[in-house]
Amino acid sequence: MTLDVGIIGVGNIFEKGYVPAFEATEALRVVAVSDLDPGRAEAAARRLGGAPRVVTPGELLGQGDVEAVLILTPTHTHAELAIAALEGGKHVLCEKPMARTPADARRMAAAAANAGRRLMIGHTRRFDDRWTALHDQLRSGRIGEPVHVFRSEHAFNGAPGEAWQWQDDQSGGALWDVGVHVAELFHWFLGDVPLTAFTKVNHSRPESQAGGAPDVAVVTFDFGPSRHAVLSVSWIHPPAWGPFYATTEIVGTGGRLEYHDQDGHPAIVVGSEIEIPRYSPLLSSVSTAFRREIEHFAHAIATETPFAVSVEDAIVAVDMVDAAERSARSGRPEAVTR
Amino acid sequence: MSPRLRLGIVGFDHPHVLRFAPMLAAHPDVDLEWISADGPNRAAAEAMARDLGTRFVAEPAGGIDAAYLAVRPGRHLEVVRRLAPEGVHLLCDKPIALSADDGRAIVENARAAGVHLMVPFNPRGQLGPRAVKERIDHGALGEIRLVHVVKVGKVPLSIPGIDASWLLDPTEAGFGGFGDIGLHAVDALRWLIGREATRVYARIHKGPHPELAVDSIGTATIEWEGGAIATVTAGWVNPDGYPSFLDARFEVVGTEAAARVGHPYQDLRLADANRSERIAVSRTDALWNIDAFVQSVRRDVEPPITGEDGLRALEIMLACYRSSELGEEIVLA
Repeated sequence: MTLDVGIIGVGNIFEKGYVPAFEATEALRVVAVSDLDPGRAEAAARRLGGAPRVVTPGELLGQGDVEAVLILTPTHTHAELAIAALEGGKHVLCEKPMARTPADARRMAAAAANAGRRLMIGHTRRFDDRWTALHDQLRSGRIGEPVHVFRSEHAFNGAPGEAWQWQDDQSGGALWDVGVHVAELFHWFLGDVPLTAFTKVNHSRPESQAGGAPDVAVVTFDFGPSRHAVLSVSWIHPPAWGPFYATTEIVGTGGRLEYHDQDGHPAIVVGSEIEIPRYSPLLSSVSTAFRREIEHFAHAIATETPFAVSVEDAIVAVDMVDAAERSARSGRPEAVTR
Repeated sequence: MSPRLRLGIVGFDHPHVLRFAPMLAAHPDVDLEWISADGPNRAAAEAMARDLGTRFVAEPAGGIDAAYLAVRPGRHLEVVRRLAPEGVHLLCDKPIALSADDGRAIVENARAAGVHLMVPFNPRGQLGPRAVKERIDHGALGEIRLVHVVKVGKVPLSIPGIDASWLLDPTEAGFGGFGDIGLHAVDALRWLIGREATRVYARIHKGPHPELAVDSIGTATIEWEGGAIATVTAGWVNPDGYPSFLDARFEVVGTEAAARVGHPYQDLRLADANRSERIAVSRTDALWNIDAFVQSVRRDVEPPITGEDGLRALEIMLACYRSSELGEEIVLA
């Protein structure tokens, strides 16, 4: 069975994540493509097989053969687009963060419930072997109960200064855009919602200073008297650092569990300088995780089974990052709304 | 330059003494005159003195130019008050004291007596962090914006050759695993960033060892003059089966470049049917600290890590504990 989908927004994540995924799968078929930039939509349609129609975002919801809509647009547009699609009778797969505010996220959840349509948020980490392997080990109990988690996701953000990623009201910067992935993992790994968040942010690069979106954030989530998780996200690492290299260190009551992307060097090339060629742009996410994510979306709709990452999970991640953002402003630990 | 340095070791409680004593005895510019100790580690000190061909004395004796203090930190001030007026230069192991007031008094006593005072910290002598520091000083990293230090070890319960159980007693040690190991990391941050800390937020708790009277894990977020953000994760979290007692990791991100340091020691890797181990080829960090002290005294120049440095690291660490207790950020004076 094939799920016929329409896509809104064919920017960076479409290019890096979804194009290879659609090339690899037969579980979904793109029948319509739209973007605010019609030229970019035309180019995207040519890259996908099956000759999808190019339509305006407004026209997409009127396409009768579109069963589900993939929303791959800037964060601050997710809520309106998703609500319109759900109310128009479409299922929705929406990129993370679910929304720019907790209120928007809850409006999206309510729209899905009222319309009786399925809504999934693209928390790709749940489909990535690196993080499922960590989760499997945690669940096995070999290191006991996790009491300390530190995770960093560091990269260079090459988007131009005028891009939405650098505008605080549109993206929330590295804190929201990357931090929401890490928050979601903490919620998944620890199986719990933290009490508070304490945050330090920096506006280090000129793009960040101009747009107001923080490019460094360090957040401590307090999960109770003897449990905490700390995230560090950065868009200021130099371009040659590589793409979103992650470090995860977990201390449990009975052992340690670690994963470091940069410990596994696929090759070292020595010429007049030493070069360490890194993985493909989004590591193993590219080859497997996005494909698994969209196939899971299609399969769960066809079989009427729950999504691996629920709307409630995605709302918790938004609540965590929202508390972190409030803390960055207040200078105090802020409660995570439940 | 003064000739050979006559040196005494006061106390045999700090685990560093097991490495420092043989290194001091072997140092070409040092005559190890005696080792003194009382309490549970007296027998270990006597045995070490025999092995190294030096004298054991029950009480610190005279006839020395310099002393290495390996007594428990709560006794540092008393020893400094006794030795500094005699003109004895001091290598005082960390923490400099249990309280900032005592730390200040130690610094004052040394200054008034005109003796050199150094507090040893391992990362200063480790090759990886030193290579990063050199590049920072040459401007290769630009302005430092973000630093992560992870420094963890095992619970110091079964260190062969010494009774270090005082480290698990809050009244003797001042703090638990986070402070014990994290103090090295805090000093490393001051050294690498080259500025002072302004604000501290920390979560410190018993983590994997609820059976201990002290904490065993913590993470602090520290803000610095100029706006750099740093985290320190430290504690006694390496399980018995972990391949090394200690390990550390540094990530330093500047506006121009970023640097990463993995495990700080060059290791042999040894495995048998039951476990795999990493065995340090040499402890360059301990050698560096000892030689830095010895040469500072011989040349009569300020040691690379001063008593003030030891005091500042202690003040930051005490603020971490206060933050964790109060659940809020602490602004440093």
